[in-house]
Amino acid sequence: MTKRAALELETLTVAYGSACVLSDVSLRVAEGELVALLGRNGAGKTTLLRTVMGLHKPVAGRVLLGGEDVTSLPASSRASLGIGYVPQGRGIFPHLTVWENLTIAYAAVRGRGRNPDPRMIQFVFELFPAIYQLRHRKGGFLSGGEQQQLAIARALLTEPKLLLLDEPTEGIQPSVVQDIAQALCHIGRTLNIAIMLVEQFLDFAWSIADRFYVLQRGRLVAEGETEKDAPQSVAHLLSV
Amino acid sequence: MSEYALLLGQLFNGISVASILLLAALGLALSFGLMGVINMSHGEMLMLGGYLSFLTLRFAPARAAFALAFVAAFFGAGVFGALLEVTLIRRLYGRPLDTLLATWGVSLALQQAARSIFGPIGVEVTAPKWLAGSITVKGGALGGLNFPFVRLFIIGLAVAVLVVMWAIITRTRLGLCVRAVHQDRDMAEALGVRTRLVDLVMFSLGTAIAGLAGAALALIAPVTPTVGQSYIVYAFMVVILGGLGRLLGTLLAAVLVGLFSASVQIFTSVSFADVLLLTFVIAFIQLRPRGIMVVRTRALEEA
Repeated sequence: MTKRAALELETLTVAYGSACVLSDVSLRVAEGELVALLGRNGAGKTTLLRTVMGLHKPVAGRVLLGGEDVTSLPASSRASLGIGYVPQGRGIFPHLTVWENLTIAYAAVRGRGRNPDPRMIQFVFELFPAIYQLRHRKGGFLSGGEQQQLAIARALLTEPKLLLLDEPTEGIQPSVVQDIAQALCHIGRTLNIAIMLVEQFLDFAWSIADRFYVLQRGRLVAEGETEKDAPQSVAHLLSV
Repeated sequence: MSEYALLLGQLFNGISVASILLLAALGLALSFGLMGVINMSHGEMLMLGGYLSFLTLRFAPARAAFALAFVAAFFGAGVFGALLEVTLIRRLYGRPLDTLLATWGVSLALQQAARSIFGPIGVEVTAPKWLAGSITVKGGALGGLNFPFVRLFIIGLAVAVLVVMWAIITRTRLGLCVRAVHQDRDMAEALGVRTRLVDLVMFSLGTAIAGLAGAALALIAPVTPTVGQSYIVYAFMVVILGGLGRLLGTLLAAVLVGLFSASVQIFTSVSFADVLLLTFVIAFIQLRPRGIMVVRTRALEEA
């Protein structure tokens, strides 16, 4: 029972000048699947997500979204085709209100030539009630956990088929980490959105992901399923 | 004339100068303040607006000509700005020095083109009759005060443009996109905002407002090929003094510079007033490097 692919990368190579950051990376994320991307600092995880989003141009290889080649499209078009992005550092606009931070994401839906689905904003506020309370506050005044929730909520309002998350637990207190893990599982199940998650913590990754990939110095060195493989099997690839 | 009248007269002059500076600087506040693009040919957009207004008043039917002149100046300069953005500015984003040189070249080319077409001597635009008069205070403590209609009209125009721009930036979808792009370009793009289109529209709007300023300027001074040069320095000064990316700051700075020039000119010559003004601005920037309104911006820091 192979599900259709939400995202496929074919022999993707990315370089900054002459320094190769990703070489020959091929991977696949199926519809509704939650995939963790693991690796040490500087392994190329963030670059991989940015390249999928369209914020970096690959030197070679292809990015396919739902079977469609999007390699030459700018990020705004990819957002309209259904990629939601939560970057490292969360990317909240500090001088915009929470409400403005959310509604800017309607640009992606309007790019599809239709209006935003009102059920989505209802879903988002039910998932993160705190965000609704804070809607008139400036984004810059929110705590780390609140900003993370806002960033995920905002990415959902682009009505994505694929959600990219870059270290959603970074710098967030443990109790909120649990909330975010639950929210991500809920999103994946109810909306059937594929999720690709960059993570440093193995426990967190194993608690929510279906499958994992490990990057080392820009190459994929391991992949597997979280139910079959133990976290210890990849620990030596991640320890510093 | 009494001392009060003299003082009030200079105050009016200062605000009148401020309104022209504001019109010249508002467009620059968009391209330089919000987008970080140094457009040296901004002054020539004023010139373009002035000549377009002159041509319209000359060839259009008399009744609608005055309004048409402003429309032509606005859209003419706006379209020219859009062409400039697509052919030149867009290719030089993130290279401020190259942008500066290239737009300076455009500025020289436009000045020479104007010289070839219209000649080195300025052309005059005659204001319609209803703008020709003035309000004069007769007798009393303020006797002898004179407020020309043209000056009042320009002050009104500057205020109107400021209000419309404020409404666009704070109240519209486009304004929201502009503020988002200003704060985090990559993130805005990743949320589906077509940042290239936003850049184009804002740059073009900036030059269109400069065109409008040129048409207004043509009512009080002849349009010459170098008319833009006399305002560009002040316009940049106002935008920097006001603080990048802040409309309210731009307004305050324009009023400050206008009043400063006008009040200093009571005691000294025009050129020495300029010296004092520049000294004042330099001292002010030393004390408050980010201008009157402080806002975190990356436009200059990354340059």
